[in-house]
Amino acid sequence: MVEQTTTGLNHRKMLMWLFLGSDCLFFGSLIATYLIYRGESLVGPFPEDVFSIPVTTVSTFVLLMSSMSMVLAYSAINRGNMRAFRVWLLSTCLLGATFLGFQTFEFYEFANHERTVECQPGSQIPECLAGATKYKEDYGLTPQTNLFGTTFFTLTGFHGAHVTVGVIWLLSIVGYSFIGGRKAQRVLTDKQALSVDLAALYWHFVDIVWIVIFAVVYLIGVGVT
Amino acid sequence: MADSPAHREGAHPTAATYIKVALTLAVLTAIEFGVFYLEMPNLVLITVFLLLSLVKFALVILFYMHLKFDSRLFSGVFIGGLVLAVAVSIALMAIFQVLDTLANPSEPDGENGVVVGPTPTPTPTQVVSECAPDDRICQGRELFLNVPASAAPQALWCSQCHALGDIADGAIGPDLTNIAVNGATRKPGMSAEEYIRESIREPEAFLCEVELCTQGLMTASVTGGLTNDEVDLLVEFLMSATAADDTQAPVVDVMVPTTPADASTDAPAPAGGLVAEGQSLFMTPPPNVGPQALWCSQCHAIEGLADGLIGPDLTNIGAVAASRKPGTSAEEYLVESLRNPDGFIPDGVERATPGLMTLAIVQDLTDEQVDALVAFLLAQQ
Amino acid sequence: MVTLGNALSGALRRPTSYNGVWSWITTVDHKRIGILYGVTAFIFFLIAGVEALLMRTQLARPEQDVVSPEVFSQLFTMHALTMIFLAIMPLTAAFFNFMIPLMIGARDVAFPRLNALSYWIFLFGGILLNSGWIFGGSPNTGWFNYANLSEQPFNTGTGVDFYVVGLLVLGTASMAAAFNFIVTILNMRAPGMTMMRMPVFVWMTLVTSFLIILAFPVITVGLIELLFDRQFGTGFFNPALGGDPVLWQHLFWVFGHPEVYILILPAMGIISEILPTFSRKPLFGYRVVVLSGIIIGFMGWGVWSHHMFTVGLGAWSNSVFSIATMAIAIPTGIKIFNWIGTLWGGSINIKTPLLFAVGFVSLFIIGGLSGVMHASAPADAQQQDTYFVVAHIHYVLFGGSIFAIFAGLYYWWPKMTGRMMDDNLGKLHFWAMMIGFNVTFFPMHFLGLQGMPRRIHTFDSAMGWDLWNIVATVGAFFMAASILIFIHNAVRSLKKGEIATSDPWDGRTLEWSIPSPPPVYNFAQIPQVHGLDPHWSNKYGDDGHSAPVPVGGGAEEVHAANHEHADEHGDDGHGIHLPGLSYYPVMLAFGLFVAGYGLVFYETLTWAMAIIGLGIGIVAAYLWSFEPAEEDHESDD
Repeated sequence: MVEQTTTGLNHRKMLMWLFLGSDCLFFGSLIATYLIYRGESLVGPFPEDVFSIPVTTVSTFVLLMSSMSMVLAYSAINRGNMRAFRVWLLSTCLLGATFLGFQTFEFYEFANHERTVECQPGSQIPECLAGATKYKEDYGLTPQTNLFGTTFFTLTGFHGAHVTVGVIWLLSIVGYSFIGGRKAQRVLTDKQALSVDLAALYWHFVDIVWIVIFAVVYLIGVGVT
Repeated sequence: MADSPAHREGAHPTAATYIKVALTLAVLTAIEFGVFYLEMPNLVLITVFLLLSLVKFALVILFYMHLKFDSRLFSGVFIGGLVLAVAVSIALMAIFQVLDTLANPSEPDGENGVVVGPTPTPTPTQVVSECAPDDRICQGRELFLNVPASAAPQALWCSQCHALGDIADGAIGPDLTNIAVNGATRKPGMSAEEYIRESIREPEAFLCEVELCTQGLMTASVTGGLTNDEVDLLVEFLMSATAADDTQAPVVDVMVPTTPADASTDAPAPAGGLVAEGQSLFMTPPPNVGPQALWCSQCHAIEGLADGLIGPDLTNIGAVAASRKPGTSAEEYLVESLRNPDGFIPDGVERATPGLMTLAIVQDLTDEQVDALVAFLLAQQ
Repeated sequence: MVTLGNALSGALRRPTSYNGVWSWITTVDHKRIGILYGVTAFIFFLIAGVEALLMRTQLARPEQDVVSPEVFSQLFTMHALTMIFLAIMPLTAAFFNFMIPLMIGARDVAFPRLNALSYWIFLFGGILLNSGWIFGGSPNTGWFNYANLSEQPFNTGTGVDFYVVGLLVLGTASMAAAFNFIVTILNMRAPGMTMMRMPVFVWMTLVTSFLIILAFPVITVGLIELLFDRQFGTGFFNPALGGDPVLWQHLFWVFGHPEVYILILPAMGIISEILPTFSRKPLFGYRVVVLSGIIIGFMGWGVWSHHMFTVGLGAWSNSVFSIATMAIAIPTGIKIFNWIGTLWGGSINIKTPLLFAVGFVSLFIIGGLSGVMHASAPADAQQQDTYFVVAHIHYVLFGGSIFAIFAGLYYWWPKMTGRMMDDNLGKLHFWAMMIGFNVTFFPMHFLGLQGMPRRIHTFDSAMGWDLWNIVATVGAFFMAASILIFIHNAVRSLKKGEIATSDPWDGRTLEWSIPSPPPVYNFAQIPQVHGLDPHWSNKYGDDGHSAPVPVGGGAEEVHAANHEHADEHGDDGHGIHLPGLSYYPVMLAFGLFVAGYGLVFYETLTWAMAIIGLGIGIVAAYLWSFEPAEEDHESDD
């Protein structure tokens, strides 16, 4: 049955756009909290101590490419090409999972960060007693360490949670396309592949949130002193 | 309202367009990465990063999310939410004055710390800085002597608790003369500078084993309001100040609580024996408690007897003690306050500061001495 | 081939019965959900009322000890939370649910199962929030729950956790409902019903829903930050880590001020429906009323710091927010003039709904005026946290929202139940409530100006507040008696009230064109709309916007025609696609409920319960997504 709507727009697609508009306020508030507390941490580590811009640039690139494969998957299913659709959608999931891997790595690195300290005369540190001029000590960042840790982990953690939901959603669609039989083919291509379109909108939104986080939290966070 | 009843299907871009967009996104990210390593003024960096990410943002929503080809209603609800989020964020940042500090990070923080309401009395008067703008040692010295605007009003400040050569003679905390040299030996693995910085930022992180190092006396609430730059100033000053220090700093009137050494002679004669004993205990520490930096009468005021301004006024304590802690009688409350000063801090009492009066001060008092003090305090109606 | 969808759907047999308790639990009919919302919210309204009476009893005389200070703190917090989130919002949601599809000529909302989900989450969220009374204490920090009073070292019980988790759950319900109504209003209007032909109540629902979806994410972030502070030791509002408790105030009020309009705009919509009907005259300045409603919605975002004038944000901030706040009086004043203009020269039919509507206008003017008074920052410095503010908010939220909700209840009762309420009892209810209300809350202006702080447990006789406190308490019990009159009237009506015709008030909008109560499918035939006040046009001909001129046989013929249509199709709605019943909304909501307790009692239950609840929710969501929205015939292919 063709849905009749006043605006000619699909109900679910409108719902998705409203949700994304609403989610802007969610991430907006988290980013505002981060910026308000920028530079207010009483103790280290500070962004410049732990961030590795090259690593995060790579993970940003990975997420951007996942958006490309997502849109190609959508394009494929819209043309009815199930094979290409599955390939692109699976690569989207894979890229998304890679991004999550980067994030896990990053969180782990931050929490176990160390710094190099110069030995002082009379120091009792074993390395210094052994004659070294420098030694390493724990300088980890956790949500409890300082305001930077509090705001950073909350903001990127919620972004990561959004990515995780996205990966599960996309995997569900891939799974359904395999085991759903002929009905799946019909459901997935129905109404200009609406069910894929909705997941894609969500996925791209998660991507653009990261574009903002990368610029505001990472680049400006470290580059602007 | 309905501006495109059906999808404008033909307008949807091809796979080639999608790949071109992806390449542009990759290139823009690479440019961001490159710009990051260039030495540029902050304002330029912020502008470039925001512009580049805006372009990336726009490319994704216009092409990948098809807003360029889809109904304007979708753009409306999404951009509406986005604009509102940005506007609210900017307004919040303006209120917290983050925008100023982003553009001019060298400036100290804004006036967020300004406190409305009565200022506790012994805050040293603010003086106009007499230091040259680039004389950081001098500025650090002023900071050491005077409470800055960024810190909350303080009962006591650095120079009132610490001695430092001929600059200050506080006897509550450790002597800081020569701290630049012996600071390096205090905490294993820390240079003098790092040790001083930590001691300012987290006074309770590590307790040295020198004289007058009392746990819980100097708390983070004393220094919490200091900006990072002010801490730098203090560290630089302390690193430069040695016993031989003879630089001239502006002399400032520091109001040190006066010690009412002979006040007891003027006081009205106490009524009973126990009360009299309590009064004498209140005025001077008995031999069994050992030498103290400050004693009851130096921190608490009792009209006509003592005028300490560090802790709560005790002039009417006999009358009000019963109402301080629910379920506790006046006598029980006073005994508890003497035996376990940090056990209960009443609300709404001026200068009732947690952690200031510690157990170390009173723990050596005998039960009889506590009884005498309580009898004396109960008589203060 | 048995597909996965069928296999999953088969796991739980789809409910089919349209009778009995399970038919209510699994219902997706907007009218039934509306009634569920209404009944539940009214029960919460009574609970909050009892809490208010307890407080008034405690404050009747100086130095009483009817309830302990600890309980008193919980009472004023829960009274506000229950009234705002569990009574006023869901009571307006009851009208949204029941009336919006009828007013725009639709057969249901856009997402019937999502609608059911909203209701069940609301119900479970309400139970969760109120269960603090049984499990270790309710929130006791006031409804705006300022940090750092709400932080772990200062508030160690579970009260604040109930607040945080309860509001997170309730926020989800409100947002789900708001998404649904926006899509419904934009997308399911009858042919010919352009935006500028929508009834004002529909417009105000739309604006309110937008406010909900944009404001609730902000408080969600605030609540999450507070939850993290309390449970993981983060430093968002903790000065020991450099955090600023004032940030909570900002996040709360960025949400909190739009929330105030979320409470009042639907009330304004209801009034804008009732006044024209009972003045027998179209709404004066329809476009202006709609536009000022939209403007109020926008401006509501730029005034939040007027709740924080005494925080010390500085002269700039206070001035800007002061001016913006005063400016909101303009669109609000315009609306009031339009309502008075509607009454002016009308042929007024004095029935209970009209009395409540006029009561709303007069009391809202008083509340609005005291609102403009504390829009001025220096005046507010005197009024902040005194009973003056208590008087103000009750004039706008009780004299405003609640009066309008009763107006709506009397107005739409015949449509919802098919029976009339007794008009004389209704008028008695109105006058008792009007008098009781003013006797209760007007003296609070005096108490506030005499310096009586809000939220105090008791007071000393020497303060000179004895007289007005006892007066306010007497008024409160008088008001409670008036609510009993209403309950009596409602129960009487359901048992032996006069059977309502389809159009007892000579209504203007589409809901009056169908039988009372409406059939399951609402409209046998989707109506065609040609202008504002479509049902008047149907009855009296389309004569522009001037006074209605009866033509033809008038109302009764139109009803007859509609009944014929209904008969043609039969009462089972043959040929009309209706959404099927579903277990999954209530299951998903129950999952959130369980997870909510897991979050509150994370220490004793070590998250296990949160994970179990989330698991139930995820399973329900999967089953839901494989269940066809309509009872279709696909399952046998």
